[in-house]
Amino acid sequence: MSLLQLTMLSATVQINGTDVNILSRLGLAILIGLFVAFIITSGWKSQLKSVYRQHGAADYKKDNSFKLSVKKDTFLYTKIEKREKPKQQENNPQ
Amino acid sequence: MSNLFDYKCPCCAGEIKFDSNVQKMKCPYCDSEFEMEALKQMDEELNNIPEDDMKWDTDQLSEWKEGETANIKEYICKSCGGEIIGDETLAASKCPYCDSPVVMKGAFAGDLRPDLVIPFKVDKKAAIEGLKKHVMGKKLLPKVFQSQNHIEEIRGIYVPVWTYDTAVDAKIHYKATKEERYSDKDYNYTKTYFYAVSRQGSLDFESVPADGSTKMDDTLWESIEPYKFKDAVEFQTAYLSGYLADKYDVEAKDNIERINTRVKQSTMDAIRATVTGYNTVDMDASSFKLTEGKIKYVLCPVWILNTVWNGQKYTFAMNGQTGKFVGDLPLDKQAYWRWFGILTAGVSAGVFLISMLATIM
Repeated sequence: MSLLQLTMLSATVQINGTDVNILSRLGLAILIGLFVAFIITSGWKSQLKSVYRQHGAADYKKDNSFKLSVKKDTFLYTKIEKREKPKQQENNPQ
Repeated sequence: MSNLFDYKCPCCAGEIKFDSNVQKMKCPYCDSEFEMEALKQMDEELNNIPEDDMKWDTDQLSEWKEGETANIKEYICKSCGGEIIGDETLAASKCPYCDSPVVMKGAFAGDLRPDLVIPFKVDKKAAIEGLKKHVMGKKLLPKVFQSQNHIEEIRGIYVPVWTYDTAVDAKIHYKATKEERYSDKDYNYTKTYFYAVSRQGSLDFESVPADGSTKMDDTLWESIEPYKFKDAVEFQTAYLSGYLADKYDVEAKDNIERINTRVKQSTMDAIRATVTGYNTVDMDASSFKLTEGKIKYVLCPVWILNTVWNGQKYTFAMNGQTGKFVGDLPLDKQAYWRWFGILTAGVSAGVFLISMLATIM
């Protein structure tokens, strides 16, 4: 048995009849903590930046000036793709 | 002699031919089948998309009347070479862009006369309050930055701006799909319907601005937009009193590419919003034409502060009409990692405790 397997085995405890691996729970908690910390600090970091190029000129559109003169949707063709469903393994009776 | 139609397959661009078995046009490469009429219509629409036509007439601007510039003095910055103008009563001493001393060059002469000016609506007190509010509550901003940016030296300046009016006519062609999913005992199916979508429309723009000074960073200028140009008034030299005005050194024609990009983008967005009910929409071809183009020269009010911190230059600007304040702030890297560590430890501990409690209970 490798050192890692020994470590994982020794970190397993029984709680209310369930096997709970403390190390993997801790590892998952740390991953979630890192993710949440990254999201929050990225949000704070983005507050420091306020200089951006404009996307377009939407603020300068003349009111009610947009007119659509041609609206044509033409059907061309269809395509069908099929994927086989994974088959469940049948139990071998023998 | 029969007519030969050379059509490309909309799916794989191969050459498609009429298949007498299915009585439709069929692609020999990808086996897609098409109604003849639909293909002909799509081909006609694609051939009707001309090249972009986005030209401007830049010869419409006005000149100074006699005697109008008598009270205007011109200053030059020894450091950045910037040329600024001001009322003769204004004793300009520092360049608003780089903070270096300026010297009076003499009486102002030459150049085009502004058509309009947007007077300052926000005073210096409000500008200083704006800066204080801008730096407040920023967890990752170095604490010393707030006290070391000589806030009192914020300056009001009229920035020379070219404004562009135009009407945009656009023709856009899209490829769009709708999907249907279903399944039976053995397979999952995805049925995709392919469409050719055509739109044609027009949209008018008024006073799209672009700054006419090389010393005003273009991105900084666009960040303090929008300006309400309907509040602009006929230019009088009296408006310069108490403020500096930058001389333009970017010609109207030099901004045309950027203006074209902005009006084109907004027109594309407006037309794209009319293509609805599809799972995917991809633009295939487009054509834009500009008409009724008008260019004006306007002076726009801006409060500017330049500051140097840790060897880096930071520029803050406030829209002198609306009070919008912008300026990138420095990051305190130590504070960033400290908070990262605290949040990681706190959230991890919380999640671990909750998961253990959930198991116990």
